[in-house]
Amino acid sequence: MTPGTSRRRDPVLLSFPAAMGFLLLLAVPLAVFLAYSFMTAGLFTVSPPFTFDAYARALGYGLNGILALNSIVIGLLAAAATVVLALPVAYWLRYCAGRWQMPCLFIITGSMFASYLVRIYAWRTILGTRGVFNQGLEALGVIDEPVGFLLYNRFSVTLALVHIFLPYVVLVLFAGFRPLAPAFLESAQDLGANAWQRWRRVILPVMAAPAATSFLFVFILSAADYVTPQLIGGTSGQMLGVQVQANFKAVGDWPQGAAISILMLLAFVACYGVTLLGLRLRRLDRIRWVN
Amino acid sequence: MGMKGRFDASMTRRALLRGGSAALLGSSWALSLPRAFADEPKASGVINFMSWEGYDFPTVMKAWEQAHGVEVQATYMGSHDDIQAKILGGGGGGLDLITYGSSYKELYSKLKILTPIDESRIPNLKNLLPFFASNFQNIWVDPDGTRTGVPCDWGASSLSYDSSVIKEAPKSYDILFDPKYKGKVGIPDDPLGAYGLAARVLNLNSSKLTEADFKTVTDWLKQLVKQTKGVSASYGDVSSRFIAGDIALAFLGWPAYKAFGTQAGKKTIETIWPEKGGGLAFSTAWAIPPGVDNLDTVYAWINETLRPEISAGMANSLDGGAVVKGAEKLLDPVVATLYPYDHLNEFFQICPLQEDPPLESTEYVTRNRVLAAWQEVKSAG
Repeated sequence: MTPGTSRRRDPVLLSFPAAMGFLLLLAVPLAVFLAYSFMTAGLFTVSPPFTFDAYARALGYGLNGILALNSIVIGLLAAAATVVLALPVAYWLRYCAGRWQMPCLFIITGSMFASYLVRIYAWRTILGTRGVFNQGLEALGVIDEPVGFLLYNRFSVTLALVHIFLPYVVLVLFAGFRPLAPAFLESAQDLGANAWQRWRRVILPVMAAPAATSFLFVFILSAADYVTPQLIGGTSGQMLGVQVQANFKAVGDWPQGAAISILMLLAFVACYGVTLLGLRLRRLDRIRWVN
Repeated sequence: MGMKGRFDASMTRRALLRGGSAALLGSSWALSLPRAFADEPKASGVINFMSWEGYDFPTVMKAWEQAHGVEVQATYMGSHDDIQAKILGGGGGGLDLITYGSSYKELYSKLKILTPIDESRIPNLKNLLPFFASNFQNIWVDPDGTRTGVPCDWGASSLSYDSSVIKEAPKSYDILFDPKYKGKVGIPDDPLGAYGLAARVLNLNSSKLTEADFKTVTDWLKQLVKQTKGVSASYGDVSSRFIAGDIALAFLGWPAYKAFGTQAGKKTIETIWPEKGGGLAFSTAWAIPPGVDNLDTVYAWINETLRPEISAGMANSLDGGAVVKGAEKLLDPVVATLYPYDHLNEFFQICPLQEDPPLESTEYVTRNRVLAAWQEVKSAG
């Protein structure tokens, strides 16, 4: 065996444990879900014969369509808002924060240790009828009585999801900015590019892939969420994940729960494909840092 | 006088017979000791337990657990459906003790989640209040006499209101639809409870809903949900909304809200059982799942919970109802006022135990139809 051959094999060997983990923890459960979705439903059981019945029921049930639309709208809003808010924060951390960079990164990372549920309940405390926001406005004399439209709707779900995912996206985009040394921006400025042109011609092309990845990350996790809608979604903020949960836990119709899951997965894969295609058509997927 | 002298002085035929009898009884008792211990539930080791948070009663059962070297490893469920999801969906092996709500009896029997309970291993069953010692609706004992559950607590749901907002106690459920309280009404995510109580308010039988009845109840609930800002994730969530001042009324109201509110400094949450509609009672029971591997300790645990002091401690801890005779006298003052222990039979007339739709039926709407419809009700707004 030559040293060169050994080097070629190393990546395969190194990735073997991760590949096995992926296979056992993701691929196998997904295969089980796929099989369930084509089986006949019993009460908390599945059995042959194989059938498309679960898909027909999932697609033919009007409420699923409404909840799917809600999931898409809330997912898109949460993803867009998160990326738009995270981009300037990541930019500031990379190029302007100076000695505050590490403390700020520490705070952002630390905020992720707060429990998911605690963060959702925090928004109830802030936006509730007797919450901080309403009491503040009342104290300032802006309102006479508490406003109730802030909570238990799509807005509050979106707000909570943005809050939950913002730290992750800031870190991803900060990592995306890392290879772009300040000298590049200075060079662009020296060549006559104004601030807007530097954003559009230098930064955005470089950040397109990380931003798109972040967008997909937030969109998929938000659209599939079923906890936040139950706690602060009200009647208008319910999402499709709630149906998956109900079918598996309460109704006991595992094939339909699996069918909805598989349909959601296909939709997410399609979103991934469209994003990848968009980046490729704009030739934004080929930017590589070679230094 | 020594032993020998006393024996010598008193040795008559009658004394000999008496002494012989005593010796015989003593010998019999001594010989029966191993058997007696074998019959008594032995307690030691770990109980793997799954139920609602707090039903492991860490404070109330602490002394008993320490005395017997028992450790309870509890898994808390977010909804009742977590139990069947865990046991049937994998990972449920090794559970020693679970609980089931009265409305889940039929489902759990069909799913074979409940194993027969040997009544001779639970001598304290004799302590149960008459209602809970009965064979009511076969919730705890099957028609063939097989016991599947042992009552541990109970309660009732109806109409709760915040008396700081609504000064006069409501007379009926109609107040829930008052436009004045739009957005100020709460309802927990309890489909079977909601259909059960709604059917009762509408003078229908929730376990025998025809298609027309089902539509009537569903429409009524949809109108009710329009009065809310969404269905709350749980009863605890409704309580939080009451305490936060987000709601002033709750369908499926619960007397425990008063205790929860009092603990949080809000003493104005009241619960009533309106003349029209009354309320619905529920009861939770201990049960032994198929995966049990520490059976003796489970029997000992259940037996211990049926002592008046423990039952009262459990009711205090849960802000619920006690199931054991004499426990009502040991309750905390606030908890003692939650339910009328002096008139329990009359109370259960006003608030009968919840009856759910059948699992399978060609005549009546089934449980799964109700659960599926509830998803639509929740999204009505």
